[in-house]
Amino acid sequence: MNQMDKAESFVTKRFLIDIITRDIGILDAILELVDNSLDRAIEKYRIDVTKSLIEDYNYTNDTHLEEPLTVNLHISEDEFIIEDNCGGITKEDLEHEVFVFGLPKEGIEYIGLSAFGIGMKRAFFKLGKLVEFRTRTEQDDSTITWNIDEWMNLDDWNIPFSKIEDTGLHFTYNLPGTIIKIRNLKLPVRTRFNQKEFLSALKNRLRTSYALFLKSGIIIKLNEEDVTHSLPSIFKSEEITYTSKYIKKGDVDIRLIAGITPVDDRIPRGWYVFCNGRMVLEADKTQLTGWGTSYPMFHPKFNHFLGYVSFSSSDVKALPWSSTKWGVELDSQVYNAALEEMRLQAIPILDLLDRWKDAKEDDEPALPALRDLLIEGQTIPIFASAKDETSFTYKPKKERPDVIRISFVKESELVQKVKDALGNPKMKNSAVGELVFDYFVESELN
Amino acid sequence: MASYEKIDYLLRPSKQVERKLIIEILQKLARAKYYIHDYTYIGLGSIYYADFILFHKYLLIDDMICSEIDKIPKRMEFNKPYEFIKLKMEPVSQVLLNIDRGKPHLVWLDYDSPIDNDILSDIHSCIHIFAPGSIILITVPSDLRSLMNLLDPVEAKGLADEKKKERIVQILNDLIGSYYGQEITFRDLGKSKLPKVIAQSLRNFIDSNIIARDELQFFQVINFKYSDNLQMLTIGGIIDYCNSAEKLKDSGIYKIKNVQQYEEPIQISVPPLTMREKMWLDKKIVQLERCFANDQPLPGDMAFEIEIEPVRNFVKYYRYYPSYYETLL
Repeated sequence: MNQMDKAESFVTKRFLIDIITRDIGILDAILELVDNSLDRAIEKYRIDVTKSLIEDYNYTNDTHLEEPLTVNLHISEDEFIIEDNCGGITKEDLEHEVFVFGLPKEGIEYIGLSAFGIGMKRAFFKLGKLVEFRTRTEQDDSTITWNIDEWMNLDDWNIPFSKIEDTGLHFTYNLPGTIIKIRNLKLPVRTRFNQKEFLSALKNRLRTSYALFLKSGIIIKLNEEDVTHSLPSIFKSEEITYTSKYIKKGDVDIRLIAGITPVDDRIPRGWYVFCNGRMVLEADKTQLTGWGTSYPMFHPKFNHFLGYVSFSSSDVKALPWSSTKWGVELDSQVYNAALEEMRLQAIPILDLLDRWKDAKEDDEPALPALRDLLIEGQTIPIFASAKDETSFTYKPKKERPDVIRISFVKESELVQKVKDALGNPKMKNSAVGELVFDYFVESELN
Repeated sequence: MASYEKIDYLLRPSKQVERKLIIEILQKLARAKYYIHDYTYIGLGSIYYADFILFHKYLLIDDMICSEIDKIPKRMEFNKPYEFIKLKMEPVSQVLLNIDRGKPHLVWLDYDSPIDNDILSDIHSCIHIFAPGSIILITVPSDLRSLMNLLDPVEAKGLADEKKKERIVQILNDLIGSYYGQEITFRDLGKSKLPKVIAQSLRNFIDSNIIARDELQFFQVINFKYSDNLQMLTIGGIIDYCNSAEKLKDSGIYKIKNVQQYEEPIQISVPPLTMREKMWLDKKIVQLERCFANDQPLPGDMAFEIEIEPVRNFVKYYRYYPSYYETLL
């Protein structure tokens, strides 16, 4: 018999790194680090940015801190730095959790944005080879220097703490937080960091992904510039209202707001989807949000449609986001329940926009032109009053003439014959149509 | 022209028989603990409110919503038989947004236009929104003549009949082919086949959409076809928890005459008769039933000329045969 009575099976560090960094882009990797910072704020200060979907919420109303909560990103060709004052990590968590691959504690719920217990590590691997890490809470102040290349060659998986004075990391903020500096950037990362387009793409992603955080008062900076959010507003008037609906599926709260955008909003909208406040789909017009599957395909006539769907749960694993947190999990039952509701709420809105489309094509519309209607109303400040459940309605306040325009194409020779027969060879084409129609009404209907 | 303009709803004998059959079945659902009098009824508008009157009288429902999209608000309000009917001048899709989702509903989506995306969409919405225990009834025209309305009239104008049929087959396949389970062909357009094709497709459409509600299932109990003028199909059933299957089976519901849980519609057919003829047949009903049970010819003392088939149909449905002199007020 062979001396070995078992087949070896284990995971190599190289394989692990290869596999977990494969499906994530540089941008998403950076966002994972921002998520981690924001998670601390959510946990420590109990901030719920999804409130800002339905009310005029600012976290500073509940939490009186000496300085604004900030995530500060600094990107250059040589290094990547992210610093926050969002609470920091305790020494115990650092020892037993933060650097573990996957979620080490089974059976407990993780709140916030860290869904898979892998984001920070894979961000490090994706970006560079030397990580300096310092974090402090009210009690602890810990430092780690992680030379990934050296670590790769060791059998030991653990990463030793280092002395604070060995790193050059100094906190800028008074409130506890974390500072991470990544150096020895990988070549593709250096290249990207050098491109202006990359920085503006990153800024855009920060602007969208964290729109609700920004709207709630949290500050995110990229190379010393504040990132600002721009979430579309919903239109409301005496004639048109919007939908605000709350449903619950298992442990997940689902809030849905849908309606029509104001007249000066020229951007084609669609659905905006959030998980625990982080945007995972922006202005979606694809099958992911039901277009072309459970209701009509997107068409420019629906440009003014706007819908927000927010999933929140104290159990991040129950949320229907994809592992890169940009996109949704279509197989999720929670998401499917939401899709059904989205469909239900969207249909009356799309119906109306569809009717408006017809009106717009005509010179004298049966319905008031969308433009006219929207000018008469007001744009409600974003979500200021969506706390109560309402449903979309369109109730014309004044009677408008109920007429329809008909147009059709006929051979000109034939039309000329009709004109002759009608006794006026030079009459306008539109008059021919009207007279022929009247003729039918008189002879067949009366 | 809306169908209410063409014929008084009450004067369509098969339709009226169907209403009575449905009422009887719904009453008997009490055996499985579905108490319909507590339900909210949602019906599509008609100036006759026939279903509303019957459902109030015989199912004792007094929470009712009527959805009407034609622009005749005054006429609808004027003809409303009961104060408690809530008239909504808006499509079902809008009405559904504001219903109480915790309460069971009975809805009758009674369309006079052929099956299309809007109809499927309404059904889909009901399935998504109704509380467990709710009942959904769907009626759609199911003959080739009605399906012709699916064609774009401009496009259809120059087409030969065969081409039109081809086009209809194509439209049906796009619309419900994936639910029917196999390709719909020319042969499926026949008068006897089409109701089954539509019934099966609707049934599968419901089944495939109710999946999104995890623990719920559709239990079909109604599947009728009849023709007063156009051939119509009605399919209906209960939306309830999967584990209600036992309860329904044990209650004996499926053994009740005229309950149909399968895809083949039960044909309702009533012969046109004068009042005197009907009364004469009523008087002879026991004797006639015996004839049919024993496979015997009609008795020799028939008072008037009539074929055996119409008599057979009369005997089947005599209890539901409309009596027009009894006006519903």
